Amino acid sequence: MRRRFIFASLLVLSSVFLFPLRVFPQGYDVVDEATAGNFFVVGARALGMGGACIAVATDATALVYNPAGLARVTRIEFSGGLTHQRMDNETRWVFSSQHDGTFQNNTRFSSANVVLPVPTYRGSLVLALGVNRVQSFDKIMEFGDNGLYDGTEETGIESQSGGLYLWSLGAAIDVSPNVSIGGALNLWSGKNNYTWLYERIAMNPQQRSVKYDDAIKDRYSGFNAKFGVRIQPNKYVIIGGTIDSPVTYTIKEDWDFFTDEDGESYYDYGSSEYKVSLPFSLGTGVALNLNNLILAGDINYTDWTQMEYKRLENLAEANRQIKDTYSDALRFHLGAEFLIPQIGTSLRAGFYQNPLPYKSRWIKKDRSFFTAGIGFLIDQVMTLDIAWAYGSWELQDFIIEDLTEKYSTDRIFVSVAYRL
Amino acid sequence: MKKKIVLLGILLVILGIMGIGCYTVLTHPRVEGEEGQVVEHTGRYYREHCTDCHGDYHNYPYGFYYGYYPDYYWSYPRWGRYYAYPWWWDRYWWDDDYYYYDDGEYEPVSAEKAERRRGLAPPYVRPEGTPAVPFVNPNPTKGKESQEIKDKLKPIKIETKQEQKKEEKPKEKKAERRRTE
Repeated sequence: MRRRFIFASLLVLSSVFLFPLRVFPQGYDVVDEATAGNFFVVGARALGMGGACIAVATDATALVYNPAGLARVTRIEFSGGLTHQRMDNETRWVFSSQHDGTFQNNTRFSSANVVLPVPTYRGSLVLALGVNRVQSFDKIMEFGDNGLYDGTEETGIESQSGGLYLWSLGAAIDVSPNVSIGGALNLWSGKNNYTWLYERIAMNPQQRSVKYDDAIKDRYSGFNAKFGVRIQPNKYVIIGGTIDSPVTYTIKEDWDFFTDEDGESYYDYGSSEYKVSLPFSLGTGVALNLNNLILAGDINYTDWTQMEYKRLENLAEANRQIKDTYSDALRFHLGAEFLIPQIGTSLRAGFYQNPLPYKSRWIKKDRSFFTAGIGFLIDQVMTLDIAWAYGSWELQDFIIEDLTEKYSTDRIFVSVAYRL
Repeated sequence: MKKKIVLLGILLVILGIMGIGCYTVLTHPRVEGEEGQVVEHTGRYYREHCTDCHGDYHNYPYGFYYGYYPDYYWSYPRWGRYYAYPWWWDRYWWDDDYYYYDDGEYEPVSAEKAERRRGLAPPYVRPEGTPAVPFVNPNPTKGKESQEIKDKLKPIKIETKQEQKKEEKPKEKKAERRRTE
């Protein structure tokens, strides 16, 4: 994804030739890659527990969190889920009290999985197949400037929608009474529809009015593998560990750019294909199982500076931008589940921080979420889980130095599983 | 290329562990003294009843090797049924009632439907009051002898309460109309 880079270039060119009053000191050096650090929690139980599932995922979502957890499934399981997200955006100028904002709602199919435990005399061997939406690109940002500061009225709306689905084929096996290992082969697939509508109306006759109306459509595909281990040394402690192998996305891109400058219109379009490689990702989780109460914590580490473009024009420059823009990130999750067996109900709560993968100079407030959830066991064959999460973060715009972007989301997940 | 080799190596290790065999065992191991025999699996078990050899099975309603389970699985068995009870132990899949017939062939009865157990009742646990089939191998090293004993101990059919009720119920005969005296 290079839209930010393209947008940055256009803005910088505009700033140089058209209205030198506004300063964009760092915008030219920024690249924004959508696939980096946008993990979207999978499953309502997991969301309710703040996504802390490396040690405790013992259902189909183990395909995503820790394939070794599949070994604990003893019944044939079919499961699916939906997600709903409302994202609110507020933008604010540093030099004035003017602020703007908008919101966007997205309801998405989240997951569909089947788990098949193989009959065993001793131990466990489980196979699983599923598709899960693991990354969300849904986002919106709007800003406006009434022109009191520099004599130009500006409005801009940046919107994107889409996500990445993970098609997984996994297996897990017990290698000792208390140790399981598992693996999943993953096919990544998804799309991102990005639009940018920008309009500047010159109030000063010496300046020019400009309008951009851009659309960029990206289609992603990639392949990787995930390996996991789950250890339960005693009744009360569970430990998990995972390794995600690097994934190289092939990105097919179609773009349309419409430009109007003082009544003169230009239209440009094209297609391209390039690759971006994401690095290894490591995760570990611990859970305390106190009969009716489970306490869990996960950490995931990814060094996004190792991200790398391949087969791209200006490859070296783009990869330098990655080093300048990105940072390593430690994502952590905390969660608790309290079970009331008498009424077949589980209550959950959690917190997680999914850090923005950028260098700290752009981050005003890091991305964190509070979560809560409830689950029901229905007639010993079915579970219904519902979860809600509230998250917020604040960024300084990559290009427009004086603009801060504040985001908040409400997410509602619903998952259903049926075990034969 | 290097990454692919690493991935392939890890995959091969995993497949190797799965292929060679490890802790997980898919089928019941052959019992000493019976290696040379051809054993026909008439049901889900190598033996007619696991309890013949594993006398303490009843203490492990989810099997010997399924890890640690919370206490409430015993008080509220639906949790255990959902999370721990192996699907291949279900009568839903393997109806036990016909397993005890000695007539060689299984004949399905269309009027009967497999019952789903509501609580913990592992398939190897016999209904109350029914005697277990004793099986004692006097000399485990002599497979022939043990087979003879097994042949003598033909499996018995266990009458369920439902079946007993059916017997007691009077047959619904339609009365014949008498046309003449």
